[in-house]
Amino acid sequence: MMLSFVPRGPGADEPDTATLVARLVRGDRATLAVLYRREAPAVYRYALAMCGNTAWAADATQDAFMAFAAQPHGYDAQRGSLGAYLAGAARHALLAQWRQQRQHVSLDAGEDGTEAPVAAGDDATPETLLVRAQDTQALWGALRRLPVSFREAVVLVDLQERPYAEAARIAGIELNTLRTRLHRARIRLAELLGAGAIGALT
Amino acid sequence: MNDPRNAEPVPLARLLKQAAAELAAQPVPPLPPALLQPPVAPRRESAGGSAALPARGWTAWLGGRGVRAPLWAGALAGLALVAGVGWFVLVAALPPRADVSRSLAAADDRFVPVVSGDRWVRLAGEGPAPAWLVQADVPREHLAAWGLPYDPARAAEPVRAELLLNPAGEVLALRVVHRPASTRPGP
Repeated sequence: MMLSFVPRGPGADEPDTATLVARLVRGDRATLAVLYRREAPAVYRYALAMCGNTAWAADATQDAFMAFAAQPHGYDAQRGSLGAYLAGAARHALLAQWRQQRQHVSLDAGEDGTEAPVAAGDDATPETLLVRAQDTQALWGALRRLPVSFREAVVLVDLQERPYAEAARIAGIELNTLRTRLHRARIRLAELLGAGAIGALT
Repeated sequence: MNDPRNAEPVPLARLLKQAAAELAAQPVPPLPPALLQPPVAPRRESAGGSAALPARGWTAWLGGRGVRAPLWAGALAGLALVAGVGWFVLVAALPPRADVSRSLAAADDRFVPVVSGDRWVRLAGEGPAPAWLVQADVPREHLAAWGLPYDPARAAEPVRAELLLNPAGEVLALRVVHRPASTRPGP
């Protein structure tokens, strides 16, 4: 049975995350549906941007939620948001996946069935859309040529717009390390793409 | 026709913004049904888990007859210890029973995977892995949640099944255990 799923933000009448987690700890599994709706999009898209493979990203997301469901008391709200906790769990699942596939260090786009996200349309002309798709396709390709640690910094901060502190927590590194990796990653990306200035990002 | 490629190099910031928009538009996989299934605790005959059992009606029954909690708790712990030691001795003296735990590789074709097909193929390809085989009476609604057919007219009637669990307690596959007609509940 496939459940329909419509991503949306928490409603005004929905309990906050802490309340839901407390219910889950007490055994109320139904709260997982609400938590999944809230948190899964960011977790899945983080995993997808990291690996470029929808199946792996879905598996990593599911593994993260299954691990959380099995031991919800393992999440400590004092140490960060639930989203960051789950993204960290998905990160572990992805790394395990890569180790199994013996692709621990880097993944080459196009050689392993990876799929880049598809461009979303807007009111631009077909020519502009085509160029934009080519540009972003090139960006995804360049992103996958970065070392995983650099790629992760770009995904978390530039693509998901997470706060630096949260991104550092997910990546398991110090804040300054994240900043350094991000700066180097942007420079490397610009080199790979022959892109313009990166000043606006720094 | 103008070739937009003749324009200035696209700033990285704009590229990243476009990529972020693409990423945000990616559809998210639906909620895995297995996520909502309560964890199935393996049946263990050892006494270790008795302290974690929730209070049952008999505790109130004993309490109502003036039996103080420390007394009956101690008596029960003693009985459980004796039973546990006896069970251990019996099990140690017998060859391992195949229906207690098996490897994934030993799962035969009658098992129906309840995880995604890709994952099942991957698990099968990984070779032997630790897993639990437990018997449980599964509500038929759970069969539907796992994507398996069931008879709605008998939704309230549990079905006897063997569940294959990974060490985290996740149900990987199941097979229905057919009971003799005489032991089945009436229609």
